Amino acid sequence: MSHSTQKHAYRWLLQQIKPARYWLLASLFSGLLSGVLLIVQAAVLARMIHALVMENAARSELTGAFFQVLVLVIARGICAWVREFSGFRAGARVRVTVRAILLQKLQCLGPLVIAERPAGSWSAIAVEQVEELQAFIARYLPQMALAVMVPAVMLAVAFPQSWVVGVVFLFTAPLIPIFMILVGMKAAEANRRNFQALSRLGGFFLDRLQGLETLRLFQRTGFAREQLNQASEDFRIKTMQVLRLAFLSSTVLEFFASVSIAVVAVFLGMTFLGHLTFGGQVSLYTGLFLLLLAPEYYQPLRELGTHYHAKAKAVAATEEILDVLNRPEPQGHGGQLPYPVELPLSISVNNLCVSPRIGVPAKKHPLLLDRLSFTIEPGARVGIIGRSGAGKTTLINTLMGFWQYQGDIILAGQPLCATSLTSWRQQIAWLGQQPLIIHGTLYDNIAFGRPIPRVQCLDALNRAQGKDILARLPDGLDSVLKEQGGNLSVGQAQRIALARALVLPVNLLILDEPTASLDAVSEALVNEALATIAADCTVLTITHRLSQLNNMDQILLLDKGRLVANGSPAVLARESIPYQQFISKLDEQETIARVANA
Amino acid sequence: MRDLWSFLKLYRQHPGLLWLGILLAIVTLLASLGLLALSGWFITATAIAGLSAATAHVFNFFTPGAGVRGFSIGRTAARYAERLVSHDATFRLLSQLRSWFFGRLIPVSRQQLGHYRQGELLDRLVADIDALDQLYLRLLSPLLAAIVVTGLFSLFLACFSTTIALVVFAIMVLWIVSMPVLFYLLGRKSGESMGIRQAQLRQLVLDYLQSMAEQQIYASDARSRATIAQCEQQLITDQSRMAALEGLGSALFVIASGASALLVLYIGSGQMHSGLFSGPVLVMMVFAVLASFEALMPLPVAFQFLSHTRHAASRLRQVVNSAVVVFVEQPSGHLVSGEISFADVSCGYEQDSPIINKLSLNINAGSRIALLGKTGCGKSTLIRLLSRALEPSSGSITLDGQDIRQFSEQELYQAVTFVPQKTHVFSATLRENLQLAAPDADDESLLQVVRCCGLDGLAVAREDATDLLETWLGQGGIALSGGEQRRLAIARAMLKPAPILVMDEPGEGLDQHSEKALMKAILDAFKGSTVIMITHKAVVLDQMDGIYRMEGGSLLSSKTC
Repeated sequence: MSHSTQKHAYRWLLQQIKPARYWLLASLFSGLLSGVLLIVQAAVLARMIHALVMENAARSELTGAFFQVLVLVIARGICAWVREFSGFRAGARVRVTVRAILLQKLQCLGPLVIAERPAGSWSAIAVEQVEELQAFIARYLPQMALAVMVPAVMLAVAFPQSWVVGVVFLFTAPLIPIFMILVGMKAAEANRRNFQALSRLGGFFLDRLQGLETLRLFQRTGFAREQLNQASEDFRIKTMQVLRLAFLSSTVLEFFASVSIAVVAVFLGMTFLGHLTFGGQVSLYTGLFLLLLAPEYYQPLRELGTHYHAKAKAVAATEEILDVLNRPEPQGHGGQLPYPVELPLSISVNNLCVSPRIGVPAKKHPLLLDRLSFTIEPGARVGIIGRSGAGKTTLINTLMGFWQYQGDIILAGQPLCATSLTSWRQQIAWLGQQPLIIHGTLYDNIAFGRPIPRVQCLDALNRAQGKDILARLPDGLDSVLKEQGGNLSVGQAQRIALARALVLPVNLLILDEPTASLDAVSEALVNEALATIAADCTVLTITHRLSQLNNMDQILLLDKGRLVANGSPAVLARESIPYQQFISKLDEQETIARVANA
Repeated sequence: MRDLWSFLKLYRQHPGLLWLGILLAIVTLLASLGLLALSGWFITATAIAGLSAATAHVFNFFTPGAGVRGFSIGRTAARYAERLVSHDATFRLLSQLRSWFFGRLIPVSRQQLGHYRQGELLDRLVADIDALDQLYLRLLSPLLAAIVVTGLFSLFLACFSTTIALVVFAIMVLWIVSMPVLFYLLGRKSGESMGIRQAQLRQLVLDYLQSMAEQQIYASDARSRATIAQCEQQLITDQSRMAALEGLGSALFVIASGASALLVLYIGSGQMHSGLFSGPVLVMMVFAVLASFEALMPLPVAFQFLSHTRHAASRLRQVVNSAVVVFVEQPSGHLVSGEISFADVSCGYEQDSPIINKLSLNINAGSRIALLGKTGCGKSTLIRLLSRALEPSSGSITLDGQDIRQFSEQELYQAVTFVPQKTHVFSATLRENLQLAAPDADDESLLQVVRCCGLDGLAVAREDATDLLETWLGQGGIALSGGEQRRLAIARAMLKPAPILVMDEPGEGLDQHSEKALMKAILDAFKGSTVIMITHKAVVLDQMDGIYRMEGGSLLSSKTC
């Protein structure tokens, strides 16, 4: 968290307030108006008291003035409401905009970048961190302007009344920017540290809670509790040291506010008594008016101080947001041409290379995929095999348009890079290793946002051998599936995911070890479902199962990103040495497992 | 409200500091009030005295002048002290609250706690505790200070005019009583629904990001984004109700303070003309009323968000009051040689679908067995049963013929060393992460285990590799890969010898070669101990005395090598 990135973040944040500028102006204006009304109110009140006390005026003579003050008070109340509400609106506007930008960016970055970190850490930025901008936009920004404007207006009003009081105000006025820096730097620094200490303590606490099980197994819970006490005690002592300083800077401000009241009061009193004469003649009206203004003169600045942590939080949040927004996007794949639906889907790959990271020149890193060339006939059953890390998943991700690539991928005679990704993806269905269940009903999970009739979903579930799932759930298709499929077994969840893949007819089905995490019964069910797939649909399967290989029309064996064998299993078994080696290794492992099984 | 009371009991530990904070808050408010009131009196009195030279000459300006200065300094000093004391108190409460909660959580059954294991819920617990931190600073202290200031101020006014004192007292009491009730009730509904919407938005965004591949393949991202935007709008509607309410709070405050001062001026001017008190006293009262409302300002917002705090408290209470695992206090005194027996054990989270179904298994002391099976077949549940993270619904588990429920917690965990499936890496040094298993181990024996488990590779990641054990791990340090986490877990186990060793997928994330080496190391270290190893890989099975296969909660087959 360097100073320059903070500055950069702050500048970026200020650019984002554009859509909210009218709300911000409304908040600023009502704050300013409230300040002006306060001055008027002080004047009327001072005049009333002057009349009552000095001129012995009857109360009935002042009825109008009483009403004036009442109206002013109510108007100020309305101003306070408008200020709060329009400030909120401004903040909400900015949050909506920033959140939309973030989600758009995450969509552009695509599933592969998202998979680099736990999804929770991305969503924390898009949800919680964006919320942190609220107080900064709603309160801090308008207050920053008010802290300059309101004292300026008061100064202009005070001077003609008494130049001495004006000088007292003015003398402290140049100090205001100094205070702002003082309060700004010291308090912001202190607030930042305080905030950091708190979040570190929170992190420490969370860490120990997450590790509670481990602590228990090693009989260390008592020790951890002591450590926790020790850590919070340490944090308290350190933070209090910082706070002692931080509070001092706002105390200086407080001190000036108090002292200016005292100085004004004593000066006026002495002038009235005739002990001081250099200020000229002053009436009680003037005295009371100025006395009422004195505490308000510093009030906006004091309020600004209380919002400083809002700024620190917002800047920290913005840094995290920018960290996401500044990531390079995959470029150059996906064109405008619609996929040629009328042609059979043949896939022709020529000299395909994929480098590990977007934006990194390919030369510096070993390639994930290194000069692959192969063709796949329409309707072929293709097995992709290889050790973990050989590039199998990268290959299918590239075919689905998630990776940037060099070389050619020709789909039904048309390059992938010229084809609109949306129209291409309409031809594909995909099933991964870990079944994905989203928060929602069974229907939501199968239809997945597509307008699909319920009958068709039921049919897909049947084809995916999911009849028993339906029977178990209380409300049929409308049953709510728990978070991460909490009320389903992995096998059931995978069959739901399969139903999602099968619900619309497609030309290419991509399967990434679909049975790797399933028990034997579920595996059999899934395989049974897969056997019924239409013959004209091309199926690409990543697999580790020997038994599945012999049913394939074509095998692609990858090793360290290179294609080391390509052909039908029968031919490869005869002619390809890498294939034979790979198969014997697989066989060895399966035999050991079988021994255990026997 | 009962939920909050149980947490307020914690405050008894630092009564002095907490009362001092409130006392200082009162002093600050009174000084501030006194400053403005006395200043108003002073300039009015001097203005009247200054009308004739004689009265001006005899006017004692020293005492009030000193008072004004005293109040102004006093207010500043008291405010500073109040801030220090109340923040110090808050930090103490914060540490106490965490320690208390942690202590209460330790015995809570892990079956219960399992629900909270998912990061998000745990985050929520932490956020709930944070919400309780502010109870004193934001709610208790301002409320008590407001009550005391109201009482003292009214008594002071009564010295001059009973009517005005009564009127001001009535207004302030009305504020203190009505604002909390009004804003608590008004804020409750939006506050609750705000919490729900926030969780919903978090869930929607998380789902959206997690399913990005599916979203893009099935072209449903536009719809998902629309759902997210809709939820966000609903959240903003709730928030905007809360903001409107906050605005109402400040509007009412401005109006109430202004109108009260005006009312006092109105009544007071009549009483002044009838000679009850002088002009300066009238000004003093008006100014004092304006200043006194400072004490009442924080109340609306404090109570508007009370329901939020209350819900946090009730969620926390629910957690700490859930079922606890009861271990016998008295050690059984039984020495464990390592014989384990499961007899007809069944267990499951739901009645109709047991995870373990009438499982029986005898393991002789000193023998090594492997449990094979796919994910979800109940292997890990077997381990949870053995560590008493889960209680069997029927059947019994015995060690050397003794039911495991007869062992004290310490005895059980001394008899069994676990290598759990998930390794928690504490954000601490490598030394601390290891000493967890052996608090008294010296650096030399730690280093030996580190080398033995291949964790010395960690030093490469650091630029100054002077002290390997000082390497910071976890958050803010080196993030361990899956394989390194397994190495750490096994290193911990090696530091805690026991007659029984239970490992859950110890080779996960390691290549075959390192897995073999690591397994050899730990099996050597636990020579003579009973070993249960759960795995779905075929490595080191040749060193096992028995291999069992589990499926659907039962032992399918076994083979004795």
